[in-house]
Amino acid sequence: MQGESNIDSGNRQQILHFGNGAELQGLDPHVVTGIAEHHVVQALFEGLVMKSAETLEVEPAAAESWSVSDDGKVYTFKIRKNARWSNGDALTAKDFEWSWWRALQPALGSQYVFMYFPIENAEAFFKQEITDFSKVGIKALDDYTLQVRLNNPTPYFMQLLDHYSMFPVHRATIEKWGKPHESYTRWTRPENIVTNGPFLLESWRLNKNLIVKRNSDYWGAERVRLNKIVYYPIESGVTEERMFRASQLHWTDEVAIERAPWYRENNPDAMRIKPYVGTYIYRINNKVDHLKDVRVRKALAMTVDRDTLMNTVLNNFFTPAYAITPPGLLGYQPPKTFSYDPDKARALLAEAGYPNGDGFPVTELQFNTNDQHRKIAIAIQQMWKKELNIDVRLQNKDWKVYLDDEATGNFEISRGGWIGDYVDPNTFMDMWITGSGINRTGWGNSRYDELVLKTAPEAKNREARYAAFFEAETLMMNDMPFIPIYTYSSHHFVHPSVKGMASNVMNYHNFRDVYLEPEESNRQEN
Amino acid sequence: MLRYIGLRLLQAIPVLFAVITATFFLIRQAPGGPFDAEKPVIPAVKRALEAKYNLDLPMWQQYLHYLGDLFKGDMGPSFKYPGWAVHDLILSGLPATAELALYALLVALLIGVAAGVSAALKPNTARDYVPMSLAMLGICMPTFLLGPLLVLIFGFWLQWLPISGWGDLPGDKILPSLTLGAAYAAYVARLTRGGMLEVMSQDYIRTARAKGLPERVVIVKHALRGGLIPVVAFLGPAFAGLLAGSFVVETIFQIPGLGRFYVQAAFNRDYTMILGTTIFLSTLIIVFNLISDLLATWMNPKLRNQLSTKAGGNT
Amino acid sequence: MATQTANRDMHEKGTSLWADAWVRLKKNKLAVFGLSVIIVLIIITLLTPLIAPYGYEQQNLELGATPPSWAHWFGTDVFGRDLLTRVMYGGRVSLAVGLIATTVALVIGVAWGATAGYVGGRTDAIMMRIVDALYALPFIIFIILLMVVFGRSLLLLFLAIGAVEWLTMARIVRGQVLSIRNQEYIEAARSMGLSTPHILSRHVVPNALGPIIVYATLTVPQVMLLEAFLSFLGLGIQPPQSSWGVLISQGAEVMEDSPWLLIFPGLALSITLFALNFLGDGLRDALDPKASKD
Repeated sequence: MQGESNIDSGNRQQILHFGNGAELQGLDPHVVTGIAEHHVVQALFEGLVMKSAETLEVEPAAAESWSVSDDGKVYTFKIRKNARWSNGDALTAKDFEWSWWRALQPALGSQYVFMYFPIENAEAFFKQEITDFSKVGIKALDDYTLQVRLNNPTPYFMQLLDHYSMFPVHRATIEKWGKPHESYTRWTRPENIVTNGPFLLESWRLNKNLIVKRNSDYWGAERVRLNKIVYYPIESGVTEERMFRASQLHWTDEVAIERAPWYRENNPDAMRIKPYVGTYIYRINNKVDHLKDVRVRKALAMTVDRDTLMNTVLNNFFTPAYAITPPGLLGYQPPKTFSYDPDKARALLAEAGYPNGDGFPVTELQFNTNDQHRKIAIAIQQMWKKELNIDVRLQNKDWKVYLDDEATGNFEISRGGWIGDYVDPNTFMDMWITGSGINRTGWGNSRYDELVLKTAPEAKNREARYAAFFEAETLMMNDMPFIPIYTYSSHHFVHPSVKGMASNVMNYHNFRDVYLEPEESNRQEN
Repeated sequence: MLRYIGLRLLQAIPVLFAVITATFFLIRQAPGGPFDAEKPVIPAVKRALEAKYNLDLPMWQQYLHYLGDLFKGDMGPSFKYPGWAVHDLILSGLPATAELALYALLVALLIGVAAGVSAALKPNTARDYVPMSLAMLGICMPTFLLGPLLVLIFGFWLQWLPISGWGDLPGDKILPSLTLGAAYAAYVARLTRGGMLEVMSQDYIRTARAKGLPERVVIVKHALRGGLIPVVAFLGPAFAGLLAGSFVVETIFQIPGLGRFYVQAAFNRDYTMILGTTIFLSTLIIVFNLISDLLATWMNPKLRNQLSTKAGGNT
Repeated sequence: MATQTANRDMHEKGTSLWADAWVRLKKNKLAVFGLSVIIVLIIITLLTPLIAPYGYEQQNLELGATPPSWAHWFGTDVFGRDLLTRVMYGGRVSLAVGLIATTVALVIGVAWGATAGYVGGRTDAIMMRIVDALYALPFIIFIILLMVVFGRSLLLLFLAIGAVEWLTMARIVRGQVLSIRNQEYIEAARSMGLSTPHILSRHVVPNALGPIIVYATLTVPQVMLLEAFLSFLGLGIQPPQSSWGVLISQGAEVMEDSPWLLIFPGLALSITLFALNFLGDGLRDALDPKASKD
């Protein structure tokens, strides 16, 4: 290739070239959603705490320390005195108080507002049941002390604080460009934005790239080694792979599964595949006549040969799943209530009135248009045909049609996936509450609801809490409202010069710790 | 002539109005809305969002609001990229896409007309079969296939040209222009050959030849004019199609263009963006179809005379 | 003058236009070759369920994607399915879509364009402005709505494709008709008091056939590839069924890893298009009214 590649010049100047998937909706931490947005927003802004990419444990960030009351309901944060906004203003507890007040404005339309709901009266304030913000458990005791009161002890509360929806925003800037509850005013444009994170916004060219540069006034600036990060909004995994091969990217947002065999053979170190807190499932519409019978649902689940699917079509990118929570989430191990067992499945199907699949209605399996979903569906369709002798019709749908049909119950079996919002089994459990907007299977169980909504939150310790989750999950999997298929993985192409990009189940990166070490020094080390 | 152009531009107003109205109501019928996501938005937030964008009003009121804003030159904010106004997004993507479409059109015309004329002059010989077979291959070869293939050959094997980008590295505009232009070149070649064959057997060409004019003059001055009429009729919609069709090429080569906005807006149910890009595209189509019709008229002497009488007769 | 007289004579004999054309077509070796190839392809696709070596949905996951071999002449895909079988079955869909949708586009486009061009005036202006407006409507939304209203059927696929492809056809035909509507033989037909539909079908359209046929043959591949895009949107065929367009677009994704998955469906499509074009050129020559004099 002509000239110096991005990798060569980037390694020389500590500029990371980062494949970021999609173009950003915007940069307002309280309004945006999505992983691509997360990657940029967390470089520009900083919350009370951050996470270690190594351990996923929280570390001090804007708050230098904190204490928790004995009943686990009152958190007191000490804001760092040397934390500054990019315009030189000091970052204070008042900034947090105002920012969180803003995030709770219903007119703002923050989609992650539920992250605040463990806080006392936050939900009521958001729903405008109370209008007095002083009743909400958020209080700046002085410029550098922030007190937060919770409804219940919430073991994962510290994890939430690292979410961008709880980052502080700069009041004067927002008020200069519009009203606090107005989303998407011009305050986030490169020429206007004021931030408090380790990097500053340098430029944003739509569909081309977004560049951030090191913030030398950041309180922890000596820790930051990258001079710049260039984020590329590349939606096509194939295009991304070509750019990686042409030394234009250090890191890609994903790995096209088809390319895996070639890389395994020729450049195995470039591919990084790690478990990820997400589960790929087939939702079953429990209201459809022939799928109401739990024996039918179990028969379907038992005839998905997950091991073969992973080894062949999916190129060992994922691990088989038999429950909703991924294994080993902060020490929680999900139950395994069933296994691949075609004989038992046939027996169950016969008991349900369909011996040898006779009389079983043609069933539609829907998925949103995507190559990987298509492949999985094709393989599973044949497994069901072969083992149960039932006919399943595949139907791909455009994303919004698919969502609409799933939300309105206009489906029989529907591909689904769930990615945890935070590192705790709860993020996989509370979605299956009876009538939850994400449940969409029509399944519900009052004992399950009680375990997840009451027993677990009120549990005295982690063991008791996990025991409640385990009981709930076992109960649910015995009902099989959906078919778990595999645990997600994060998969990226990574240039060997990239260091400090630790792998973890959240696929969380802390750009403060990332740096580039050119090949020469690599070789000396080896 | 001016009168004809004026008349056509007047006709454009009801066309645009019809397109806007039909699009406005059609897109609302498509399942799913701009704020639907796998993780459903909690109801209070959804209500807030809908109020913010007037989506809670009755449809006809929304329509009137939209028309009113549009009249003031405001296409509203995009739903998918709410930090940007629709016209910001269109303007941000336009330069790259327009440039790409222009180069692709040049590729199509240069290669297509040359191949088509060459084939028509010696029909049913190697000079006909070879370019026409290549043209057929060009037609079989959709952009999603040709693009990666060219990248593989010129980017990775020969290492002559950059594999992506637009205006970042020298020569990075060549492969995208070729990719987008190739299919059109193939069409132009086929249409040129057909049109030329038609014309070459006409009397006025025979007359010109009989007068002893050199073959080159006969072809360039007389035959091409008539022979390219089908090409010109094709080019009007084709140029607009180039803009819309640049989506695939923009994705393959990572070009910051308009095509991506145009296609993704539909998938995202980004109502304002769909309307904005549709208005933009239909204006282009009207203008380019007009240009193409004018060219066709100019190229056909018989029509040129008709035009003044026709336009006059109907107004 | 001689040309026009010959035309008039020929057209007045009515059906002999096609009979003459058939005679001339049979003399064109390439056209006959093209026609034979298409007939063979149609026969193969009709017989596919009987002669295909495997089932199109029959998988062998452990085998995976393998290059061509004695057992699988065209190789296998990632599911271990036989590509030859899938190309044969895909041909059924693609040929049907290509021929039927093109015919739909042809009929609407020719009728619309010829009428607009021949009648002229305000009718022409209105008809062509409708075409402009239809070009501009957002296609993806249009397809999604079609599916919502009418469900997902193969018939709808043909109609949807025909409904978009006729627009350019109409513009081309109109342009061509404008240039012949004032020719003497048309004037003559009009002065004889013949009806407009009669003049259109017997005199105007046959004289504009050259570009029409060329554009129709160009439409076939476009339609076959468009079908792949519509399948992507959820209209049209669903896996495990396939078509050449779908096979090619999936093959393009893996062209560096399993090139055979691209090459064989691509070859099938190319061969069909070459044959169609030989036939199209032959038809054009055979139907050319001016040629009868030579």
